[in-house]
Amino acid sequence: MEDRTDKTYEGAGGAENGNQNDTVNTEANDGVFLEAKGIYKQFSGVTVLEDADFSVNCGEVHALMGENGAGKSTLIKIITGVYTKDAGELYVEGKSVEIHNRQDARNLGIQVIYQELSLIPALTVTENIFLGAETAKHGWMDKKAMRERVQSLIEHYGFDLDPDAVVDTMGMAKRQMAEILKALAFKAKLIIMDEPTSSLSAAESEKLFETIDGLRNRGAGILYISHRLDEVYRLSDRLTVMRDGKIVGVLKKGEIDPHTVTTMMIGRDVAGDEDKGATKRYEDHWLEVKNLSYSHMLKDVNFTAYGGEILGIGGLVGSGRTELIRCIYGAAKRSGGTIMLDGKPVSRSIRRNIRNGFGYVPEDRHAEGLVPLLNVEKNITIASYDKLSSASLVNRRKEIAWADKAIKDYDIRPPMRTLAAGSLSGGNQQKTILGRWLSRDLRLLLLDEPTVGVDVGVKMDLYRLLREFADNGAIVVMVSSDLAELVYLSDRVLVMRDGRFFEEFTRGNITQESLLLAASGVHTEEGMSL
Amino acid sequence: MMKKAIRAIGSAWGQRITLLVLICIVMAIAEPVFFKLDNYKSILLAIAVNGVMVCGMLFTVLVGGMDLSVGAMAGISASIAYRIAESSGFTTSGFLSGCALALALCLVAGAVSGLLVTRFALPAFVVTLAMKYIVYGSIYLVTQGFFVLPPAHGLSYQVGNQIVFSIPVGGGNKLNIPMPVIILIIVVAICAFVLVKTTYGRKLYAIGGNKNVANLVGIKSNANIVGAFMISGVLAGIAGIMLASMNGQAGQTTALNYEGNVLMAMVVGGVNLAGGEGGVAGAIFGALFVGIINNVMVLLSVEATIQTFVRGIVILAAMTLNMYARRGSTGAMKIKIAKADKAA
Repeated sequence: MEDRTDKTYEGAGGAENGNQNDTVNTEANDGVFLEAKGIYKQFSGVTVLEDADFSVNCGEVHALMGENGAGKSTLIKIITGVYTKDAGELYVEGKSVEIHNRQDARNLGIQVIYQELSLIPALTVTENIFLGAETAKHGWMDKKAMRERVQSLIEHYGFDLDPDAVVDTMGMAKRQMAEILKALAFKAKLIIMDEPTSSLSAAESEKLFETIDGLRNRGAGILYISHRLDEVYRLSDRLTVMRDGKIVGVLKKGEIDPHTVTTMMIGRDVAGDEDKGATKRYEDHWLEVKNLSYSHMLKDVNFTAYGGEILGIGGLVGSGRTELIRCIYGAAKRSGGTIMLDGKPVSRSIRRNIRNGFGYVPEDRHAEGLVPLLNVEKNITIASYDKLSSASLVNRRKEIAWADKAIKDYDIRPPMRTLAAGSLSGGNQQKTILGRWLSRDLRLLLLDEPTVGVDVGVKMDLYRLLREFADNGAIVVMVSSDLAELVYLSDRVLVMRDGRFFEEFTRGNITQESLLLAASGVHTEEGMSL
Repeated sequence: MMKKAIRAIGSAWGQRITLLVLICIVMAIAEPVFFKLDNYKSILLAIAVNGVMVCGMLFTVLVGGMDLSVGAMAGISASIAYRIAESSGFTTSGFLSGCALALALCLVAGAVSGLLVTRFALPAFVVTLAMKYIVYGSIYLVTQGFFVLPPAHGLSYQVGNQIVFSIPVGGGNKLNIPMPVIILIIVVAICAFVLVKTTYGRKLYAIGGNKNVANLVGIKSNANIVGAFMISGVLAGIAGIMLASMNGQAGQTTALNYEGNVLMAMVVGGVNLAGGEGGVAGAIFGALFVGIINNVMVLLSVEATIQTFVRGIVILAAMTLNMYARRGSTGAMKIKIAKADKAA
């Protein structure tokens, strides 16, 4: 942690200053673009940033990592003028600056691309980019000039984007590109990306990384915030790790390795991937899916999952993964096929399935997982009124005890029953949803992207909970786009492609590369074709 | 200490009570009649009808809907009950069977609204607005445009010189509490019980908070929503019969446009019109507040047109205040979380 490399920036990532362009100031290509010194910030007496020193160079991808609440977003918000710092200094291109609001930040060439994109779906790429800043000729919008400007930007950065495409018709990756283009059109020199891949599939993410590489080579500074370690290794030239409002350390490219980073982030040593022993399979408890079909999304799907097993379902977004587990749960009405649990047919009614010990953690916890207005207690007990009431009357004492036990067992923080669930951090929201199901006597747990937007520490907690849960004899079926997660957690992985299973991997043969290849339709040695 | 006091006043209930106290102080200076016992009685009688409707509409608002037909439902319920009572010569059994039929009809009308809202995914305010006109129009079929006037004797129960309720209740009660107020208390108690103690209440909050989640944990959202509209219909029906009894007449103007006051009570009482948030206590406070404002305006002989103006201002002010209170409480919540996190 001693390597606070304030001064040791190593030139520019790629200093081919060949094609000058007014969007990026390539002159400062080999210097520090932004430097923050001794930034200090308090909220109502709680220190959230303490003596933070931080810098981003031109032409580098600088990753910022840390658990939720480590102070990443506060730091970003101070840089972008959303908050003002209590103490400390900011320098842009060597000059001391004060950033009071977002406009100040924009004028200095600092642009943020947020998780929720800010494009208007009904407008085209060009219209979005020039929204509010339309080029006018004689009082009329000069559409031609605007379009040409966008086209030249696209060509310059080598984006695969149509300036006339309506945003609504574009995939998430392209939307993100349009968003980046918008930042560039306003002469961004530092682009801040907050979890940019959270809604992208693996292939789309790869495209985004290529875009980022291109930007770096043209001298732009990228500040990249992500929970996904693999992305950070892939992309970053330098990595700053934060914990508890402090900068824990800055790592250079060669120094970045998963173990070091995780340890720095959570402040303690975490168990590596190696300690996975063989798990016990309970042959007397099984889920059998036969010839399952669901409109055009699922075709003739067959598999069996056993108690004690975590079955990973891989594949690209849209390959039918989500539909598969929704059909099993009863949230989607299957059009054909049979599903059996322990040899007995599974109902199409969610209600009956829950009574039979099913649980489902949906992909989008805001839309389908959590009731944000209700408190943690109610969010936990919401699925268990059958056990907490008699003759429709809720047993208040049981209800409180049930919730308190779940909060304790699943380490939901802060441990306050009466807190609105919407105010918890992403990881604790997910623990709350998991607590909702694990507190019941569950026999089958269906999970869809269980750790999206969850920080590393909590992720490990969730993995531990799931493992324990499976070890106790339950069946766990988990859909995930996080390859590392599938490798780490699954006893077996089935990769889906176009509504069918494409390949099966068993423990020991599961690698990120082969999962990725299988998802894109390439068979590998490790896998078993299905 | 100072900070604590400010925070208490800034909280939702702090604001409500502060406002009420302010009004009382102003009235103490401007119009001492405000503090007469008789005046309290008339405020209570006025909010009894509104309060029962508020309790009903609360169910629909909690699930993320709204019921704009409560006024019309009250009107038709009163008309049917009194029409049937009239045709039986105002016998007790005739009146009771009239009430039963009227409430059954309100139940059905509520169910129809609920089904339209759930099955066809129509916005509740459009459905119930249409229902308001349909029901209001059909009052004519029942009354032929006349008022049904029950005789002021025989069936009526009097407090002072006011005919309060025409269900025969025997010789009154010792405390001399008007019958409508007793009915309000009973309705409030039952609604609070249902919302707080039963699984049905829990489910309503869940549905209003996030219908997708409710469906995915096996709650039959649509059936429960239909139920909420039925409850709203029946309670509006009861309120209508109460109102007609107090006014001594039933017809097309009975409870006409009452939904405005009811909604206002809801907003003042901090019920989230988007669903999932609010309770009987707040809603009834809202009804009380609206009742007092109306009473104050009458006492101060504010012109009718100005009264309408003031009501509009009250709705906007209440919504703004609630928004501030909510923001304040989430802010306080965040600090609490940050502190707890630090401690952990």
